[in-house]
Amino acid sequence: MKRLRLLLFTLLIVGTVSAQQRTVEHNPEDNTVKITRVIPKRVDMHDFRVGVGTGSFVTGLFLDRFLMPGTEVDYENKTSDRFDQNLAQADTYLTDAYFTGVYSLSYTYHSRRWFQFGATATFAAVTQSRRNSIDNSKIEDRSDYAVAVMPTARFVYLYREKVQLYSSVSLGVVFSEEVVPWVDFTLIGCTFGRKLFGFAELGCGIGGFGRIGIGYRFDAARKGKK
Amino acid sequence: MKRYILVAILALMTLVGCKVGEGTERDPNGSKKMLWHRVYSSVYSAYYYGNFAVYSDIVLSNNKEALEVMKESFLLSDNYSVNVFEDKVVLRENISTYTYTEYTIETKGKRLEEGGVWVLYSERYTTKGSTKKLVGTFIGKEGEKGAFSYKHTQSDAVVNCDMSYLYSSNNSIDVTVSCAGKEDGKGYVIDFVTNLQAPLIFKNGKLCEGEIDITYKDSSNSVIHAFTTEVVGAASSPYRIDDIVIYK
Repeated sequence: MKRLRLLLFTLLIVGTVSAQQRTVEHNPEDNTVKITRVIPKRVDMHDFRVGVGTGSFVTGLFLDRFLMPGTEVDYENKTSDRFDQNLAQADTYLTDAYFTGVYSLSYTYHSRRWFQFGATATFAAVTQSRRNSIDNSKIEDRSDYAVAVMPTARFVYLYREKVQLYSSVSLGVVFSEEVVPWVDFTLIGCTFGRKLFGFAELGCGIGGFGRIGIGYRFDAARKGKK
Repeated sequence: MKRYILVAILALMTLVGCKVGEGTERDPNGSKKMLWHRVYSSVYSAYYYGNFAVYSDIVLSNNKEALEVMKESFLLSDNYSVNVFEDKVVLRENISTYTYTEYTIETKGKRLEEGGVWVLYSERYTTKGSTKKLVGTFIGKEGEKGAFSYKHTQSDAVVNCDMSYLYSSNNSIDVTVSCAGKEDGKGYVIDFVTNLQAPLIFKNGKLCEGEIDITYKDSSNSVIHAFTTEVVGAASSPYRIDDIVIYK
């Protein structure tokens, strides 16, 4: 009975570890069960992701019109105290300002079960233009753009074939009106799916507060590696 | 199931973008409106002082009915009061407890239709004293009832007016203004002139009819804007002048 309980308990623990290689040998002579688990240290997979994120406070730092579009528009419509300069703008109007979202493209190599590394590139913009009121032709492009390129390190708390939980940190540069070094955090993220997967993250940084997307992962070519 | 989740994610990815700011109104007449406001400001100033001359002339005419109608349209609030003397009429505008301005027309007891030449002064009183300055001169047209000319200067704009007024039996005082003026600003010149066939008409203080030609030139004397503003209705107030005009 004691051995049966031990067997059941062991099976319960190891049963959830589906990514592991497990062999079970039953010895009828002494009625024992030998369970061997082989947990590979290296994973050797690549994944590519494309995603989109919401804005955040950091987005507003790089895209002027994201956080304060109202004051910017009002100020810009009357640029000076000079009547002739204001008159020149009187036959123009500003279009609505639109935020595109933060689009991201990333590549990650799964080197260990708990650690992945790669790079991420993001793009965000607030688009607006000044147009001629009479013929609606574009006079000035007032859009703001921000592109970030960042190496990424990801720390995986739970690595399963279908589900992973992780956090990550990226440190790189943001190209906007200036080139500024910046950091991005994924506070908590989750992927679901095997080869073709979806992901959802909560973060802070240039990538946005909430992020979702899809990705594809595949085995790296292995030669002589365990 | 996984397929549906992935499709849902793809759909959500297209909805992240949003509007973050309102643009401004598209108005093809934007520059014309600005110029009309600018010109009207100069014309209205000239009309206002001319209206004071009309008031003064009605006082001298001893037409009590016309004077009551005039008081209603000219004295816009309790801050204004008029005192009549033998040789002058004084309009007082109270600005605050210790500050007020007095506009004095020296009529010397002679009506405009008698060829009277009236001088308008303004004197501003504050706790520190007063400053007096000449505002303009009204020149009556002898033999023409209620008609006079007036030259007005405001900032960079000069307006020369021929004005006349008519009190009609339906308790209306119509003031007709024919004017030509020029504003010489930094880097621009605005010329304006009322249409001879359609002068500006103010009924009981409100602009109701008329046409005015406006030309705007830049510093190189090139004409940038040239158009006519036609008044097609009665303005509800001196400030609601956009609603009553069309641009041609």
